[in-house]
Amino acid sequence: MNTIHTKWYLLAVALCVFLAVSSMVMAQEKPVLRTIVFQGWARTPSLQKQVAEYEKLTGVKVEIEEVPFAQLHEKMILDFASQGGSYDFVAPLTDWFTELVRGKYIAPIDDFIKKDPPEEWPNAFPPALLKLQSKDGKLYGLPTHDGPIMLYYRKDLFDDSKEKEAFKKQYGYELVPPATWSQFLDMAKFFNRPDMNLNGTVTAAKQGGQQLAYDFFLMLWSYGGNIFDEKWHPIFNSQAGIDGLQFYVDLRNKWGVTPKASTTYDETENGPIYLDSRVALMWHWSHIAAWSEMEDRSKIIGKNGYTVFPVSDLKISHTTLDIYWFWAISSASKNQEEAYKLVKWLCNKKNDKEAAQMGTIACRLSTFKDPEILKQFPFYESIEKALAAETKTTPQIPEYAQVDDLIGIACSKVIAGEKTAKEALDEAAQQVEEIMKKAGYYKE
Amino acid sequence: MAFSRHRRFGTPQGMVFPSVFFILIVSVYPLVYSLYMTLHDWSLTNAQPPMFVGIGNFIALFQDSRFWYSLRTTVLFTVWVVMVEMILGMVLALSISRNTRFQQICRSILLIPMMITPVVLSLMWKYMYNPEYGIINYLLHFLRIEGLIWLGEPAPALPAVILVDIWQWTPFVFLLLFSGIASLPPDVFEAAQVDGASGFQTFRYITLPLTIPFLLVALLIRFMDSFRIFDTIYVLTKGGPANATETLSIYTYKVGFNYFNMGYAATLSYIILVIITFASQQFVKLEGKA
Repeated sequence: MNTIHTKWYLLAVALCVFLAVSSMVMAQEKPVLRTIVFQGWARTPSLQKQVAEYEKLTGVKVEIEEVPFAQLHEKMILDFASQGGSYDFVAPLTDWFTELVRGKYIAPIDDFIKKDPPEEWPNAFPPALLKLQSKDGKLYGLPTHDGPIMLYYRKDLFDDSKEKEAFKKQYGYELVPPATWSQFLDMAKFFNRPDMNLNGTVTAAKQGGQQLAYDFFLMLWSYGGNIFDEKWHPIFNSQAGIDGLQFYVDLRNKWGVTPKASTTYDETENGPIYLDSRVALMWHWSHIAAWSEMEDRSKIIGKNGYTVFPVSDLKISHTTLDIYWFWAISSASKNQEEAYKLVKWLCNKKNDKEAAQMGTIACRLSTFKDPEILKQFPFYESIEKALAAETKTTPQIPEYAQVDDLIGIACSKVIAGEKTAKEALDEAAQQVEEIMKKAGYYKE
Repeated sequence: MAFSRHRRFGTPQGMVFPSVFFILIVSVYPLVYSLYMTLHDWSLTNAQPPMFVGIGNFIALFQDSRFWYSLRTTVLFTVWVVMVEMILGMVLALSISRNTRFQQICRSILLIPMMITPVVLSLMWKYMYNPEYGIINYLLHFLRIEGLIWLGEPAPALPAVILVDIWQWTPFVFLLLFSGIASLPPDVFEAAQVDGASGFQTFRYITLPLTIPFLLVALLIRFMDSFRIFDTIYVLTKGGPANATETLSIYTYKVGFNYFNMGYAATLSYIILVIITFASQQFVKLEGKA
């Protein structure tokens, strides 16, 4: 009997030792950090490369989930709201920042920065790239992929002496990059040669896409209008909004300088058409300027010119839309410190520069001034200037997703000829007013 | 002996308990919880708990022009899809109901669309509809017909999504009707033949009345499916252009998962449920009469 008892005793001790050792081993194991990005994101190729390096360096495992753009916002919020804990760090668009903060889904990183600041902190990034992910004096992330919109044109066409001569003869002034919409239209009409597979311009006017509402905001600002007044009443249905939208719609419906199929394009579809040498001038996010200089993406290497976004009247100051992606840390993550270390590493000088070389729009001032980068991508000089000057952004409110959708629908109805610009914008403004009222913006 | 068997396997109530428990968890609880949600205002992007609003969501829904427009689109979609699928399914079932080798092969080929996942199938059609390099405009070009911007303009967009659904689900209707026709008693047809009935008369007075129960089953299933159509439209147009293809399910999805307004989305889902349940009951009553 005693022998049996001793055997059981020894077995129990062995089991305890095994459990204790294995739990110690498990405790020493490096965490797995998970994130979510969208398919086709300009930052993804460099992210994958850098994450592989980080895994080798630290032993931390990083899992990247890729989903279509339309599902990124939805998956992120649903996981946070259901406390699924699937993601330790995420890369949201600044458009979604107020939603994430109001839901308490992302954590401030000020304490981490205090303990372990990023290289060259606090002068590492332009202030414009820290503004949109800050609230009540707290910073919620580091920028990773920027995107001010610029106007691009084909330098080879604009510099061609025969084209210059023909343009001057036809329109009575020099063929130089357009500063106003009337010049833009003249140039788009001049270069619109469908029989030669060249379009004047190309828009991304697909309802449900990312770009349509952004394009409306750009038009609105360039005609001197605004989205909301200071008390959050919608004013985008002003004359500026109507004229801007009408001009945008006329590019396709009246003048035919953008393909009819542009109503099926989002920004991921119209950019490559320009890079494929089928467009004379267009506006787009800055990564198109980088991609135009990359052999695997572009047929127009060395031929891309860039300038400021046009305005309807030179009395209105040039502005542009800036929204950007930033790394944020999930409030529900059990590995916040590890996640911060990774984010900090992804945003260091070396990785920011490398990301730029791989097609991302970098965010560090050091990258903007790097001679190697400026040689390959000279437009970085303008990005720094654009960010230092006045840029505008989408309304920083949690209700933005609804506003964006309603404006997209309004624009789509005007393009389809179902409503006039005034009717569609008045209807959208009324719906937005209702949303804002329900959300409690007008309690005075 | 009987007593000990009861002891071993439990009472009848005990035996059905696991199934009942499973149904309660996966079906009844979500239904009751979403009914509770219809009475609340709850945004997922707000750290606040749901706020009781009574029938506020229902009042808002009846005043929501977008709800009525998406209901209209859903009804249009359902009517066209069900009508064309019924007619085509019947024509096909009558045309290839014999057991020749050729007709057997045709039947097998016809079933292929039904076996493809709707998302994959919709992606295939999306490429075919592409105005620049899609095969449809390419073929139209050969016939010297100008191609359309199928999914980029409101006029052709709804017919384009209707066509995809018809292409995928006509085989299902065909299969139901074909099995129905095959099960009909042959002596009735032989008697009609002896009496000199024409092909049309045989169809009008024998085949059609006898296949009505099968038609009603097909109608019921296709109605329920097409009324809550989501995947095909989501992949092809996401409800655009100009909201021309925004059905109730698409609108509900946007309210729930783009705007994260869960109370209102639950209300929309309940309306879909009520409409489908009510209409289905009418079909079942008709089926009983038939």
